[in-house]
Amino acid sequence: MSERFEPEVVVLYCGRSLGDGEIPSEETREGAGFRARLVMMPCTSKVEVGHLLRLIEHGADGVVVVGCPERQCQFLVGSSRAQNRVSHARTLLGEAGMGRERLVMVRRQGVTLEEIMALAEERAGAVGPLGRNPMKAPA
Amino acid sequence: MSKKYHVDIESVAPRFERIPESCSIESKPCLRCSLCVKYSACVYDIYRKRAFDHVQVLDSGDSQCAGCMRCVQECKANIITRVRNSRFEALGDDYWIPDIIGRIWSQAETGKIPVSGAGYRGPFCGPGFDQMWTDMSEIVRPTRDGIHGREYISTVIDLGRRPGRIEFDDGGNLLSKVPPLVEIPIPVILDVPPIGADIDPVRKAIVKAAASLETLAVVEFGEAEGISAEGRGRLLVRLDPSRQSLAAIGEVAIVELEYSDDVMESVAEVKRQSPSTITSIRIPLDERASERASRLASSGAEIIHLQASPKGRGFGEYEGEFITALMREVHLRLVGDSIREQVTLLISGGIAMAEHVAKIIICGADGVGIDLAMMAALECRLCKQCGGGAGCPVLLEEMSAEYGAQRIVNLVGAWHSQLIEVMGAMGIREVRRLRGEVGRAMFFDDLEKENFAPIFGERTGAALGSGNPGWDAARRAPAVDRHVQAPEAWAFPFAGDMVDVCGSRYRNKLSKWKVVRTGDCVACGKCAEVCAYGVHLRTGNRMAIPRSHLCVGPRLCSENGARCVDACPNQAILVGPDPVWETFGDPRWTADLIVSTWIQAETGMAPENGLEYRVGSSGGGFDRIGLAFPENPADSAFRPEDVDLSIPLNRRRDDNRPPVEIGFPVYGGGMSFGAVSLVTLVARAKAYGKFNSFTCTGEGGYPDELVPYADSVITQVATGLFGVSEETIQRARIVEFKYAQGAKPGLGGHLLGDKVTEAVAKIRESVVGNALFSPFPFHSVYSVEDHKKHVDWIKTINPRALVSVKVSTPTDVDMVAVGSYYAGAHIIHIDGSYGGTGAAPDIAKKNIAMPVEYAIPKVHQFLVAEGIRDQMTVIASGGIRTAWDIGKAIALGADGVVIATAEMVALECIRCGRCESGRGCPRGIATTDPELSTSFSVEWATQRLINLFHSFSVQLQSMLWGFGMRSVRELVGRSDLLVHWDYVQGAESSAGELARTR
Repeated sequence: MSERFEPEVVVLYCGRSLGDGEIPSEETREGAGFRARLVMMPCTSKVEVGHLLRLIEHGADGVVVVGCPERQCQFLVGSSRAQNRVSHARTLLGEAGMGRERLVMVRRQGVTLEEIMALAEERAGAVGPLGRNPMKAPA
Repeated sequence: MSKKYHVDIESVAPRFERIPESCSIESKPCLRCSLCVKYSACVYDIYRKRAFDHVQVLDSGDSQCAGCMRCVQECKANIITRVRNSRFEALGDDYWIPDIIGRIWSQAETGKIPVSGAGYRGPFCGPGFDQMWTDMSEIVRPTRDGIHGREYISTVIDLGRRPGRIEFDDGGNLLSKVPPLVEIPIPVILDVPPIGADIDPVRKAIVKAAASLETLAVVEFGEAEGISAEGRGRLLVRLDPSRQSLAAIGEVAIVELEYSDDVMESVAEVKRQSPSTITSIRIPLDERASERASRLASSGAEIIHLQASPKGRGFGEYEGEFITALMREVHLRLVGDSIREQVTLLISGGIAMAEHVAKIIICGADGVGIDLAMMAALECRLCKQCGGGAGCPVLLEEMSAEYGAQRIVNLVGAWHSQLIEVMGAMGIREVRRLRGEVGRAMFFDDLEKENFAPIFGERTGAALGSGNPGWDAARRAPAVDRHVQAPEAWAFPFAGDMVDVCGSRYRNKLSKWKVVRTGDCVACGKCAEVCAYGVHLRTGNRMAIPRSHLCVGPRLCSENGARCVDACPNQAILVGPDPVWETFGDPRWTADLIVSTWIQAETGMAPENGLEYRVGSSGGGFDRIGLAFPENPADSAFRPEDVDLSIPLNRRRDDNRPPVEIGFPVYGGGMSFGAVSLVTLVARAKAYGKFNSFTCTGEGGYPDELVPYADSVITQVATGLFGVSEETIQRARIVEFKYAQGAKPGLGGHLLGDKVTEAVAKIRESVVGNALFSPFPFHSVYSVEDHKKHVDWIKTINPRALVSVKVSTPTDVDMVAVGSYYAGAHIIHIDGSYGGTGAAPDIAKKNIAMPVEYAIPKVHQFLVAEGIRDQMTVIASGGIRTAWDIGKAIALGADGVVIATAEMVALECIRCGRCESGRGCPRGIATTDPELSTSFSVEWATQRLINLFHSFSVQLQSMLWGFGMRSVRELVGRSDLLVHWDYVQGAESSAGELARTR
């Protein structure tokens, strides 16, 4: 009997997109049928295409980048650039047959950690049909 | 060597990449040009070494970056920028701030004292420990250098009950029964951390570290059962006598009991079972602590272990009180009861830095317990998620005990060295003598009362609101002086024609505001029409990339009703604060101050783009003092440019040495060849020569290249006597004795071997690559009489030279000044603790000796009282950054000032503080590296300095004109013209000024 697939989702969230009063968290959380690793970034424009691919290479089943809405980024257009990079990385994943849906960017302001977990859950659901990341080391 | 003199350290690499303070970001696609700054500009070669750590999700380049910003400023496409790392800022809490955690990580890794260049960079003062400075001995004390010198400084303390007296019989035989004592070589025990203590490798690491350090680890009773008899000798075991029996674990060094009303009965029981076991009683540091300590000590308690909160506060009614005050209360209570000598006082909670150890001992403790600091040493991020479902982000469960133990040993080793630094500066060779020595410390409230209250009156309640005036103030907007509106722009008389625009060496300017034009732009040019500052430029049918560095921010433009963002029909312009602005600068030298100094060096005038060029945001001292200009100056029938800025340096009436006058009330501080480049040295001499002033050789000898400018060069004679000869003394119009310096008061100098190049070695008569130490103090000076001999020596060798005595700012700096006068000196140069350019231990820069703002009035008033003020020239330095600082220093009582860091900043220093390591300054100023030190020319540097001095001069003339003064000499000691925003009068003025200016 095959092992049940529990996606591992890495969430890279901009520290400035967190809502007031939210305490930044750096942890791995267990969700319903998935695990989410939350990592705070100084700005989503710090995330490069190579970083995203490397996370997939090292076993992430899905990656969610959470940045600020357009014009609300501290770099004004930083999250827009991150969006471009995520799009590019998605294309590369698609071309490699890994599945574009493993990667997504969401742009929100005042997000809570619960909402971030919901985004991770949504991504876990999206990568479910793709199955386990083929790059992942065997269990 | 015994641990009391030296702790063996061994570098231990971290298991996890450290979280960087800031991160580089590539904001646009790279052009892939052939001259990439990532490989050509980065002195540390980080871009080649960097790697993406997928486990931590970190760019290792960010962890290794020194923050010199060269890549940011040199990138051809201007794509690299930096941002504060919110992940770093989220570490710890409001007490265990990220900076403290980061410092502990470094010390645990290397075991070395944190050292950096470019002076102190924190707030003026802060809560708790940051309201205390330690003293230093200037001249009259024996030589002490516990780290590099031959003198040993002992850090041993005894734990246990000391007899009140010892009796002997007629034959000299000891009659008294001596109670058991445990001697530990360092005044630190390893306590149980409030988090992570249940993680097995953590506990094992702590016990191992205690054994290695020959100190004690506090352990729970159950844990002691599994430790060998030998190991138990290094344990302080917590015992609950109602449930546990000492017999179960056998002999241990010390047992600790929680306080209860009948705790002495339990102590008696322990003593019955094991008379040689010492007992400690832990009591919470609350409102009853001193009374309980008194009662316990009187009842025969051996050790009283005070427990404070992890944030260094008390409990109960004392929840808001800090341990420095609470420790003093308990200590003084026992002193008052005449039993302090008999009992040992330990304290745990809130000891987060090396200076805390020294300071709490000064407040009355015999030793300290460290707890959370050990966790940070183990790479813990103090996230307090232990035991939760999330798991430890640094996997402490998987750490090896050996690794953890060495990290703790390294931390304690680094703290031990810093404790020795502080004690060495004070001239104390026994940590047992440090206990309760509050007379050898300075407290914020006392310094304010003694030195500022006579000038400014009563402090406001608002400023004292939280008990942390400086801390609070640092978070407020900087004080704003009312601008003095002089009739028109003018040039400083004898330098105006020398001012010339001298641009930056770097391609990209750092901007306070970021202006972005989006793809919606149709190049209509409306933005260029409304912008009065040249941010937007239309070239043909296209719009140039916005010149963000010229932007003054949306507020000013909104007030003027001419805002590009509003004018754009397509909403294609975005304006906001540039995050890069937060990645450089510090409370003393804010990004505004650094860049405005660059602008002054470029243009020769103060900036007009809204940057705050007059004060920093340190929250105290000059940054909270303002100048109170009269509405109508008494005398304005003269032009600002006619204000005389010259000052005489020889005021003595009892010698016939030639008069020496400098053209403006500033000369250059000593920076040695070796510490800074030859280009920098020569440029300084040339620039000061143009202003009829001086630069100073520092303690690195007198390079031949300086000889043509000998009339503008002070020869410094410092403790190492490097490069000092009769010839260099005879060449100088002024000879400066450097007894101490503000950057490291009471400590010797240390030029790292890397910087001792062939040229440096030759001039210092030493060996290439060998580190050079300057001792502290002069080995030939042990008394005021010796000091006079020194001055006489110089006067004999050079009959025409003036003698300056450079000292730091201990509690008795006023006495030192008077002593220097009677020794025959012409100039007393007081160098406050927050200044300095050279590399120095951070603990010294921040904690030893008083800030110069207090020392100036103290010295001035004392010389006045002695009736010799008019015969002594008082020069102040140590944190003089701006023309406004100069004006305030003079009004407080100095005749003139010495600057140095401002010069470095004029040469585009960004205060990354890496002056001392590797190749030295990545910007080529404080380095002898052949490539870096020639990265700019003497001509460029000279012009930048001339421009800065010109800007300072014009601003000073403007100030003096605003006061109706025709000479800067009229301003000396006019502290009645100053206001302090944290004092009643100042607060009222401040409100008025702010209302008028905003």
